[in-house]
Amino acid sequence: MTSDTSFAVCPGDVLHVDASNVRAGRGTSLKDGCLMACVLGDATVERNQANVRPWNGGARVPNVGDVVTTRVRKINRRLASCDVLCVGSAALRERFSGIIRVQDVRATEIDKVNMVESFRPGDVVRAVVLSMGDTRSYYLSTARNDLGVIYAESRSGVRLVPKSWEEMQCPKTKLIEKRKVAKVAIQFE
Amino acid sequence: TKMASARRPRESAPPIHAPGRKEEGRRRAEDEVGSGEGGWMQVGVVGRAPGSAYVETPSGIQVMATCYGPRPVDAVRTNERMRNQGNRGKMKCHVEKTEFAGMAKVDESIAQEWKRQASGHLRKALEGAVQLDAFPKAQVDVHVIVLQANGDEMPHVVVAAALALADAGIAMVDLVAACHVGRTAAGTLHPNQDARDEQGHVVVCCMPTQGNVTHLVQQGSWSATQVLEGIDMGVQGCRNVGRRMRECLLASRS
Repeated sequence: MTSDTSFAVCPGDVLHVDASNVRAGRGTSLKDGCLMACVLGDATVERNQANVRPWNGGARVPNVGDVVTTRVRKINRRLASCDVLCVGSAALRERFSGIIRVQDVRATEIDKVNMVESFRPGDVVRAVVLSMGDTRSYYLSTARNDLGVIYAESRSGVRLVPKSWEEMQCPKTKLIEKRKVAKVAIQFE
Repeated sequence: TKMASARRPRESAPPIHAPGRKEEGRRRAEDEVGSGEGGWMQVGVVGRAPGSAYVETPSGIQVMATCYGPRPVDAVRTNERMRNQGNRGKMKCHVEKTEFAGMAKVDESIAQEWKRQASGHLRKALEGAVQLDAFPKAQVDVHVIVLQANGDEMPHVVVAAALALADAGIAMVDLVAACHVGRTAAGTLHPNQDARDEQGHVVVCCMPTQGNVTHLVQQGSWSATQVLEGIDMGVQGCRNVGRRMRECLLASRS
């Protein structure tokens, strides 16, 4: 198996690669010195790592350190409760519950954070998973420049345009609304 | 065709009193999935479920399995919340049998008991194979419904559930195949023998690649050597079943 070929594997299939050179990547496991596939998919070897890309993707859960896309469900003074919808660019099968605590909204002046001026219910927020959290929710954080609100609607139902890291403006009414805005890197094609 | 490995029943027949169907309790020589003949497996039969599978045998056993997840753990009860610690996910198995599955109507309490026991057996059979570390803080639900059965549907329940899990992309160490070995008074049988003469049986669930047995259900009185012989036979049967499961899964690529 070379890096430019892939072949279909089932869980339990042995990948015939030299296990001393090749690491076990996503979808594989090392058992008794053999690399075995764990999911039904295409097995490839890239840069000394054997991966199996599942045909049925989406069996993912948020892990610590993942950048996730969430939608704010409700807020109170201490926390914003969100539904985690995507991990990276992959949509999850079901919505997981996450919370952004007031001390994790931003990196500076965390004792002066006003939750109403950071998030509103319905906002789509990019956050990072801080920890597995408690039994009900993951703990998320937006304390980075590239994390925060990426989509929000104004009170008139129009998409807000970001003005700065803490302000967004409605293009219809020109009113300024306060949010903790993500600095999204603009990609030019 | 997609189903290159297994012969699909040529026609669909009603479950009871169909011409050509055997009576309740009898199995023909080619009925056992382990013998490598007859029977039909397909995955992806339920559109909405992330993973699903349908298993049918010529003797009239029809089993459908669906797999949902990983989904957030439904910690409804307090003690479940307490137990929701650690870095492992959960797997919940629910096995149901329809009221019209058998020939006779079954008493409600017996049906509940069967459901409970079958769910427990399925969970034990799959637990050794599913990698719960791959979805911490989440749960996978496996629902199996026996649409038609003649008493020895347990191996097919396990096979359908394992196919549904693989179809859903849940990480597993290996597939789980299952096979039934019956025994007469004379000695241990090959898996495909008449059920009427059976004095005991053992259902062997094993991971076919390395022959690791995940679960055994044994009924009747067996001597120690007979048990070992029966298990060996079951593991061989499971290898056949595993081959067919593998072919079914690989053919399911759309």
